[in-house]
Amino acid sequence: MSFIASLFQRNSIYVATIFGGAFAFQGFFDVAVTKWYENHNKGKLWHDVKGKFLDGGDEDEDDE
Amino acid sequence: MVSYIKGPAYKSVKSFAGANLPLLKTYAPNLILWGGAAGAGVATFTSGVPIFKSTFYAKIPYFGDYFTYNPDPEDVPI
Repeated sequence: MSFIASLFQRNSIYVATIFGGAFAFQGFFDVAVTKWYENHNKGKLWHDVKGKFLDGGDEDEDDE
Repeated sequence: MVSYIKGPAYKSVKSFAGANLPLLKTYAPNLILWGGAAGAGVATFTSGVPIFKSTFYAKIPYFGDYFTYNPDPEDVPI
């Protein structure tokens, strides 16, 4: 009997696998999507441009 | 000489509300597994609740950092 088939033998193990898998998957999926998004928008995100605004931002507003 | 007995000797198991010890022993593995399944279900549906995150999920080894929120202090509005 394979490992996958053993998950279907008992309903309790089946349900526990689904819930445990959901708990693990939501974390991994969130991290994966966030990493992809931040890599895709590199250079445009707040933590990339923060230095530019925080260093000279106040002085620019004073001039206007 | 054969010694006869009058009838079958019945014994009753102590039970409470229809449940007795041998029956509970046979149920035990299933009840434990269902308890684990229920715990996994609770964990799934409370994985976004702050008090559950800080008291339980942040203490998971290696993966616990995912459940803690550490923003840069200058990015937090006062």
